[in-house]
Amino acid sequence: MDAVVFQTTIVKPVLVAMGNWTEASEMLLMGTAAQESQLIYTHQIGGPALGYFQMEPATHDDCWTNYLNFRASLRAKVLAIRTASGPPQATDMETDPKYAAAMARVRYMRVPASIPTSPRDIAAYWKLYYNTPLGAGTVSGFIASWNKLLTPHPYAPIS
Amino acid sequence: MRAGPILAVVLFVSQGLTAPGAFAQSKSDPTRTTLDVPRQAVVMGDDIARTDWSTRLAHPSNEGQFEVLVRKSATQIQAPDCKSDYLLIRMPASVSIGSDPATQAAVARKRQYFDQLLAAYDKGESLHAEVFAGPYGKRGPGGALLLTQCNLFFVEPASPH
Repeated sequence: MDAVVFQTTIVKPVLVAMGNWTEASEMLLMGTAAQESQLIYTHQIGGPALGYFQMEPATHDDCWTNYLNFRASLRAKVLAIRTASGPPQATDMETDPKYAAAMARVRYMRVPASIPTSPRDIAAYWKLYYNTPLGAGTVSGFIASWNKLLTPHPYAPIS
Repeated sequence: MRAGPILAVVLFVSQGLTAPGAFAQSKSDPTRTTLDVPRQAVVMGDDIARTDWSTRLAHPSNEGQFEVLVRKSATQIQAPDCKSDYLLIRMPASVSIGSDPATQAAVARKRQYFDQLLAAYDKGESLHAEVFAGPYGKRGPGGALLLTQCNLFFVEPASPH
């Protein structure tokens, strides 16, 4: 998907609907999607992760069980973003990019540290809290994906 | 019987993370174990390119991450859902937001550890290392380590201070 289209039709509207838009949170989700899926893949090759943000089903389910189900207002907003009916399923993230974006934002909401504002620090934030120190991703990989897919629009390159 | 002298590795770390997906590698981690693997069952560095694995971590990243392969059949670890002949041992990353001397020191220790492993590997020595599976493993009824995938992690080299 084109980065500007992804920004303007998926990420920003979802963050606004969640009452949670900031430039930093938008850049965080855009960078996460660029790195995790190259804005192409919605099913991990050789792994369980789903959607543009490549969230694993266990993480999706944990967000519901241990976070969203204790936050009625946020829960309602996420359910309103989701297009499918019935109990939320991890597989919804594969076919519903707005729901996938909402769940990615929820995952970051569980991080106590605030989102940094510089793109380079956002790359480190993704590595620490989304990919995690155990994950195979690297900060330099995030920056490479950012520079390849998110520049010159909607963002400037990370030097 | 070991194929050769072992590389003794000084490990043990205390790094606490509270983020989602954070991992434990303390001595109390039930998945923590010691690996002794003959040299012929180890693949690392540029040799990984000769296997069916594709990795960008054959050598340490800026965060100190690297990966080493060990033949599944050379260990007592059970990994029925790992379709590869190899288990993958990854060194966890050291990352900070902004510059942090402690993180830089941790990365340096990991690079030094990789260099030690590679030197031993090049000399034909066995791999001896403390590893853990974190969220990707558990202990089976008989105490055997059971992996959900192919992943293991090196226990990070400890600070000398």
